[in-house]
Amino acid sequence: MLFNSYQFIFVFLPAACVSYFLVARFWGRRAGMAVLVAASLFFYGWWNERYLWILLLSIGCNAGFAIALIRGEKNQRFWILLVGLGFNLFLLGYFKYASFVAANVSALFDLDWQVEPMPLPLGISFFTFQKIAFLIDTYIGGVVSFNLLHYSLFVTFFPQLIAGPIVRHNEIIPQFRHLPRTPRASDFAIGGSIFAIGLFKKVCLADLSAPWVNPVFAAAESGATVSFVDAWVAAFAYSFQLYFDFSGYTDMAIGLARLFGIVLPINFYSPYKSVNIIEFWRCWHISLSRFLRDFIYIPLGGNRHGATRRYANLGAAMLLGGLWHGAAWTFVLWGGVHGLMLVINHAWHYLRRRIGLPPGNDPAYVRVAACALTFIAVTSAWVLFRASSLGSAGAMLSAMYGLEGQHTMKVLVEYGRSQWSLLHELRWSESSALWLVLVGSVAFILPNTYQLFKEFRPALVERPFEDVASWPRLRWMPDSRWAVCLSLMLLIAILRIRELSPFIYFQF
Amino acid sequence: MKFGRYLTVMASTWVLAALAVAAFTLLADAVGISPVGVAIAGFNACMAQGA
Repeated sequence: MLFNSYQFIFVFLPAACVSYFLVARFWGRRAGMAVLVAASLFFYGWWNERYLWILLLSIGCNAGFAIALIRGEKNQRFWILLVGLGFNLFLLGYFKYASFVAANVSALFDLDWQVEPMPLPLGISFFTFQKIAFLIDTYIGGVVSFNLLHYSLFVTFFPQLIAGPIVRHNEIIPQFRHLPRTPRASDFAIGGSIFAIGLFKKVCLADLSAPWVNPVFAAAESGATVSFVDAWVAAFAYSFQLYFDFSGYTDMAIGLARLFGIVLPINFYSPYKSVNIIEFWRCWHISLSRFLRDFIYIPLGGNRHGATRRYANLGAAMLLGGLWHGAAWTFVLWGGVHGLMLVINHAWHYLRRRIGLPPGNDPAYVRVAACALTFIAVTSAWVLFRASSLGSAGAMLSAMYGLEGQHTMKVLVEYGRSQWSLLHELRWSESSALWLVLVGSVAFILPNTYQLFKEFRPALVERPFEDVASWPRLRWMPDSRWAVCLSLMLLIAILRIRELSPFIYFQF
Repeated sequence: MKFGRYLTVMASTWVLAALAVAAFTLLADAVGISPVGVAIAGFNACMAQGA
């Protein structure tokens, strides 16, 4: 069931709210939580009931590992953790990477291994990471008691089950003890408003960017020639599509959780306004970056063993982050490219400090140029993320950077020769440019959801962001201006739900 | 404004706007006097499968 579907908005969500608050009011908070777990399992099983068993098996086994870790002797706990991690990684590997590994081992050693690719259980990458984090936190003493109901809701809570944010137990489970037993108008006003913004972003900005993206990537995949203009328009449009799709989903998740009085962690903070790649990764998919930092980068040594080791750790964390997104070399390469860009960025900052020009005090025009450069670098890397194969990614990047000899010049000359073709291309370019300016303005100029709702604690943040004071006149307040504006946005978004359009991150 | 009143304004605006769109679709659009066509999935347009 998708958040952007009529079944969810008009049937499932009202039913879940009514049944939770009725049960919580008359039978208590624990009974209400049990209703939320049941509703979440129904939500998950709606997609494919067979994979519900995998989720339940995973919850059962992880509950056993967690109890064993809490009660186990000191010398046993390490082995229990290893078995627990092995189980989770096996589950993820079996469903997500078996086919990929078999194909590559077969190719490498000239074997005839064949593993049929199977449909990926929805959200397996997200809930597996959540369980791994829980087991490690339990091992290091961060969890002293175990409650199956709390744990089940922590894993299955439907707003964040499918595509995050990846939550940590100490952020969510303490909130379960204070769940409201009656609906709170403040939570419904804030949560409903954030949900409306998220749905609008997904349906009206992300989905409407797709027509500029899909035909061009499909052409590159089929081996057709892609022009310089087409390739850049498609790449930019994909950057915006992915951002509004995923941040729209996250807003919806944060808004839905808020209806039940739960505050989820922040996942996006205007990443395209970043002036370098380091800042970009502090603002893009923040809950994943935090997981990679805490469970890969720091355990590998972080920055504690010199620059070379630090850069190697960064590269390893980003490569694994790339592989987490999907079992394909395009994702591994995408992660590697980001790792390389992070290394270059850290080296550049080191160099600047050495020559007495520390980063962070640049004039405005330098910051604008740095923001543009960062966006172009990120957009170029998204081509690897979007392309279905290394070949089609190469074709797109060749068209964008004119790597195929005089291809770009040739295209421009052809435009000049054919007047009709030129006019046609210009018309297309004008409309695409208008669309890119529109969605670009939202991404680059307008405040993000966290900034809009900052005074009402919309999401959990690890440390405060610096520029939350921007656009003070656009802060959300419970007034008639915002009520009318957001209800119209919600209506437009709901009227636009014409087709089943899954979130891009559902495939991970 | 209190949160309860905010929710009331939001819900009533939504319902009024939705009724206006539905009325326009049923009346003006149906008798062909409007150059603007409004397609609402599940209402006067079919829902398509696939992204």
